[in-house]
Amino acid sequence: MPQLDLSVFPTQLFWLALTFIPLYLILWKVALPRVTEVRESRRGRIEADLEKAESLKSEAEAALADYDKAIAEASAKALESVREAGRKMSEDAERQREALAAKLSDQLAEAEKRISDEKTRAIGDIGTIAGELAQASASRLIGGEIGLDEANAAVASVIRDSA
Amino acid sequence: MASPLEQFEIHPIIPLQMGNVDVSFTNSSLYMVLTVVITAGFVLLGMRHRALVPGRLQCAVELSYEFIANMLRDTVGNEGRKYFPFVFTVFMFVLLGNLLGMTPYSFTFTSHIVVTFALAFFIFLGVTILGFAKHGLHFFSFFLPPGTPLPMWPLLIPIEIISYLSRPISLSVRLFANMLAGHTLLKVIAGFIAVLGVAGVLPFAFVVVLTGLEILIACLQAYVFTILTCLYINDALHLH
Repeated sequence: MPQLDLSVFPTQLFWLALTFIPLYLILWKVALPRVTEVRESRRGRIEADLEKAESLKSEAEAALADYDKAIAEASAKALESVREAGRKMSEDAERQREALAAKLSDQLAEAEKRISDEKTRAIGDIGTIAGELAQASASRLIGGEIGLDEANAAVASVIRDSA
Repeated sequence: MASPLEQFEIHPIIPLQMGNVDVSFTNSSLYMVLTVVITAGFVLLGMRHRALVPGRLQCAVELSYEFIANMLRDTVGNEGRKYFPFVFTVFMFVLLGNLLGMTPYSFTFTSHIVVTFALAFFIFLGVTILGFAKHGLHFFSFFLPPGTPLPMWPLLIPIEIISYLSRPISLSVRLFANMLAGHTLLKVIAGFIAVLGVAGVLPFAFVVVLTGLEILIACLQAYVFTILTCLYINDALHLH
């Protein structure tokens, strides 16, 4: 069995040391640090990117919140102005209606006053007309001249008695 | 027919003498040098672009890096990071030694007990020194599992010491025996192919299947060797 041949032990041990140790040194000092470095930089990059994405996301969320707020404010404002306009319109209508009503009642009062004046005048005239009528009809009936003052007094006394 | 053990013979390629010790450059040395060249070339070539988005080769390098780093982290924890280059070297050295040995007409230096034992003994020695450096004489408490009742001490302490001392043997023999047995078996069965003539198709098919299995074992044994190294480091750092 060649494995038990002691004469080839030294060369194997010698070359094992001469290959293993340099390989260890190369990997330890040169090769593996490169792998570590690349992996670190990649991890750093990924973390930085994730951080950036996170901050962009929060920015976007803030923008969205601002937008929502602006929308809400605008709609509240719009509602307010619609209400305002409605109130103004109803106020105007009320005022116009009141003005119209006042004007109408003025006219009504004036018309009533005119009617009552007319009535007063007509009632006053009735006495005069009745006096004249009484004078004329009495003159015709008795054929004499009766004074207008006497006729008027008679009429006035009749009106007073019948009242 | 050549002996199935002929493949394990060591032939000098360049005879060298140091004092009166023979340190010839042999077929074994050749494959060790190849292992170093391929491993170093693999990592250095793979990382030459240091790309943020790795290419195929860089991906392979990073995968092996991650594989060993995870193994070390799972068994030892974060204190094990310091020993990562060593563990990585052990893994790549054994893996390449095993896999290069699967090439026809090549030589498997891990099939020699002296190589595997030297590696295992070096690891054992290093881990023991690490344990004493870290815990001083308290390291001896490793040989007494905590909570052992007093009457068991005389029995348990020798068992623990023997099992600790046999670590380099079990570690080296496991690798050596696997490689030896696998390659011998392949050779024996391959020997039947020519002898059996047409019926040689059967052993041939068997050799094909077995070659696949041997490649699996080559990787598996490298893994086992490495994870045991990690476990020993863990024991030295954390005792129990």
